Amino acid sequence: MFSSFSFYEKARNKEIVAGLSLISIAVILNIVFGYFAMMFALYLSFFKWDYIGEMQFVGLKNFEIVIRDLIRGLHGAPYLLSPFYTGLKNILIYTAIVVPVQTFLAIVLAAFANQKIKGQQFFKVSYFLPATTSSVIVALIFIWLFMKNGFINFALAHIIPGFQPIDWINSREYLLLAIAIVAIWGTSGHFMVSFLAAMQAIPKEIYEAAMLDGAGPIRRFFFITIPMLRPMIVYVVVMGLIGALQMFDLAWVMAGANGGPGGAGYTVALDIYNEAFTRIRPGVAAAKSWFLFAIIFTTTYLFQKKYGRAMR
Amino acid sequence: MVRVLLKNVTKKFGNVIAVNKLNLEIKDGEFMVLLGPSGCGKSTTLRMIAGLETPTEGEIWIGEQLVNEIDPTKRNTAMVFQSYALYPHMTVFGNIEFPLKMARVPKQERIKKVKEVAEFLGISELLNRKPSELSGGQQQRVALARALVREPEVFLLDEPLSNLDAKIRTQMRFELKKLLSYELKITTIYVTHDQVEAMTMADRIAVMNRGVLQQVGTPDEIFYKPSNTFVATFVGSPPMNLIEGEILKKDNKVIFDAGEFSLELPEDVGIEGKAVLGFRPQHVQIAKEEKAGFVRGKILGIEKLGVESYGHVTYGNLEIVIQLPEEVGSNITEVYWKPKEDRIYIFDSKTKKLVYG
Amino acid sequence: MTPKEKERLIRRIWIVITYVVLLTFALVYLMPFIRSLVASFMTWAQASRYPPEWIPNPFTLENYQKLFRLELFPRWIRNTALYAGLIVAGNVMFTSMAGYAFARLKFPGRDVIFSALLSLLMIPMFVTLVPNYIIIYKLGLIDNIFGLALLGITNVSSIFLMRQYFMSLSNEIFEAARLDGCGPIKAFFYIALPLAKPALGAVAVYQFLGSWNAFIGPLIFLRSPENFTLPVGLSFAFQRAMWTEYTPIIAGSLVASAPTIILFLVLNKYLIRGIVVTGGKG
Repeated sequence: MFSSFSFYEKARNKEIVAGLSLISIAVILNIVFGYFAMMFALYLSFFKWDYIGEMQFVGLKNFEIVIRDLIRGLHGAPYLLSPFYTGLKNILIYTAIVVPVQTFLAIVLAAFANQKIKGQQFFKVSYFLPATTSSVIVALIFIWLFMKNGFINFALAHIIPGFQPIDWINSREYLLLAIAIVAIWGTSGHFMVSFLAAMQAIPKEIYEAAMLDGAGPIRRFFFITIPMLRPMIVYVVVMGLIGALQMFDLAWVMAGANGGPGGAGYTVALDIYNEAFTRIRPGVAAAKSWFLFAIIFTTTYLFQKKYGRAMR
Repeated sequence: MVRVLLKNVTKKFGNVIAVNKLNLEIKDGEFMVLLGPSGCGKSTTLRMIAGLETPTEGEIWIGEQLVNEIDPTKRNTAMVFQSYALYPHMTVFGNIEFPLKMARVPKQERIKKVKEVAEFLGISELLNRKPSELSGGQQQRVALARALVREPEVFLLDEPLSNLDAKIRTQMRFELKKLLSYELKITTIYVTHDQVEAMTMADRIAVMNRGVLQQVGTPDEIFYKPSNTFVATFVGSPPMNLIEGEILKKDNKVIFDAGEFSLELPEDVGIEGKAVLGFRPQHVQIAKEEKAGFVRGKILGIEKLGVESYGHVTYGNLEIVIQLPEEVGSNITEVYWKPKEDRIYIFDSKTKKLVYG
Repeated sequence: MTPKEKERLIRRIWIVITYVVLLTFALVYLMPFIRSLVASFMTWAQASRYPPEWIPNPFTLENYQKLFRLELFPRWIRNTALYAGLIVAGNVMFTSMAGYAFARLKFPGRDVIFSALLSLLMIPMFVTLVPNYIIIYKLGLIDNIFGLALLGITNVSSIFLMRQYFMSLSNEIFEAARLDGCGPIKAFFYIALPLAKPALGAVAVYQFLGSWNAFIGPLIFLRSPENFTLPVGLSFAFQRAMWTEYTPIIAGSLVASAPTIILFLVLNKYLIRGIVVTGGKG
């Protein structure tokens, strides 16, 4: 009317400028360290490089190194010749132990706590406490507790008759199990609190209706609680899978960068670290990280496809 | 004081037409109520006047100014929201002061103005409290104060009473009307879906439905001269009875044939053929015994609302509501009724527009 | 026994079982902390005795003294605090800005950009680790807390949390502000930010916990021991066997975890509720 820009256009332009400037820093940093880094990782996986010299295009050679490693491992090659295979095998065993046990434990404890009991907040706080502590700190404390004359052997000797003390940390057979126990200890309480909240969000009327229909507490648990918890169970399992498959901190401290005796505590994440920073083969590290990504993506995808999407 | 003029105002959200070619004039100092069911476009209209929405087409004039291109803060309007939209983190003082602060009014003047408005609305003792510490009625007053402090020429209110409980609502209705129309004499546009609010507060009512203006008029005009079946049934409680049927002329008499029964209509009804007959439940004559020209009806149920009671009479799928005289007990099962002749309405069967009455 | 009495007895037994189970596990979760706390006042000779002993005899502060006699340890505390401070400040500032814009402002590409950011949550950190190392290296920020912090000051989960919060606020408040003369930026500072205190608090606390406890980032991006954070420093001290005894490590672990534990104990009600809602630190 009086100027070529109407007030609405001005207001809209102002809003666009404001919006774009407010998001700019967050978006730029995430593009650089997220998307650009991802593309760079893809690029890197086709090159041989030592961070300093010329990058040398090697095609699919880096991926071939990984696959040869896996094949050697399948044929029974020792750990030093098939580090990726060893890490992968360990991490799959570890995940197969940790995820079901921590999920199951969390549900059971939540079910116990989801009653009219005194001190519910105390239980929540004590179960949650491990999750607020750094996994490195937790690992350091547990190394001591796992020592041959340590507290855990002492406790087990009192619970299990005829139990012989184990040297957990220095044993090929028990190291991975020890790491798994620490992981379960560290995360199950946190998930228990999530389950408890989800249980408390289930409307009381549903239980009352079931009670009138003659369902006892056990049947109520299996026919109401568990189905109503499904989105939360899927969430906990997916989070558990993502965490377990990338396990690094606990292994680094408890097993060391080289995975401890016979590589018993070696993981894929440790192997990627070693490729990048010890063996100085960033291209191979990138290739291995894509394998890890594929493994995490397919397991979580398949799980969610079968059991429904995780809750947000 | 100014008038507000809407010329052919249309608002589309994608393919949905929220307001369709609306023409409406709100006069100087007038209290105009926009009345209609939810989704009828009344709030959208108000928001366009405030400047929160852009009209897709048409012109909005406030005073002598075309405001389509004017920033909301420069339109001399103020708006009170349904939820009051008080800023919860600011004190009452901070809330009222905020528009002045944004307009860069000097501090001393701001304090003076806030105190004046607070004094005027009787909320001076509340200035240091937070909105969450106030009752619904007090919050309402703070919202009014925040709007008034800008000294607007047009006051816009969007369902301002619907968050209050019934008792305070009646009281606030009266207070608002007194404040805006008698003390400030300010041009006011008031949106509501509550016909009682509209009838008791408005100088004029604009009834809207599906984005289209149905009728503009004084509360009496809206009630006694509804321009179509929508207005007729939306205003008035219980709603007007509408009966579809046919108007026939027999032996110099005008007869309305509803199938199940027929009624004699006044002779000056000059229409024949299909039509919709309307009459309000309150405008019915009742007899206990059979009487010439009265229709027999079985009472299905009686609604007692204190002094008034309404009987539901059915004929097949048709249900008619009639007010029963006080002396008629609650255990009668049969009644003879007849609409008062001077209180009947006839609507066109197709266009649903008023053709007689 | 009448059926009613029987039912009551069963209930009683069940309640007892419940408490036994819950208390046993509370003990399991708390024992490592209790054991460490007790042992941190023991000599290593006593702490490693079998069967375990519970009362420090002699009671000693030697472990804590040894810790602070190591010049690096106070530095690690300072570095961790600096890193956590940078991460918290960055997230509070930048993600509230971005969350507000994504929730309340209209601009072209808004939803596409937001979903693009969200999809980054699916990418394991090991994929971007090496490239980010190279980027930070090229920027000359390796072995620099500020360089490390750059990676974490605009966390996508924080942006998501802030956006959800701003979306939950009433539209009418922002419209009222618009009519009162607030443009998009003024509305952010005068209305959105003061109203977002709970969400800002949540972002601050999660980011504090996350950064204080972070390991792999500091391990890779910090190179020299005097720049380490506590988790990296302690694992370094352990692996280099800086002390012949293990008790200083235990004492160090307690010192390192004290801030997060205290924070959690103080805020446990809010934190437990919030962490459940937003899906935790994972």
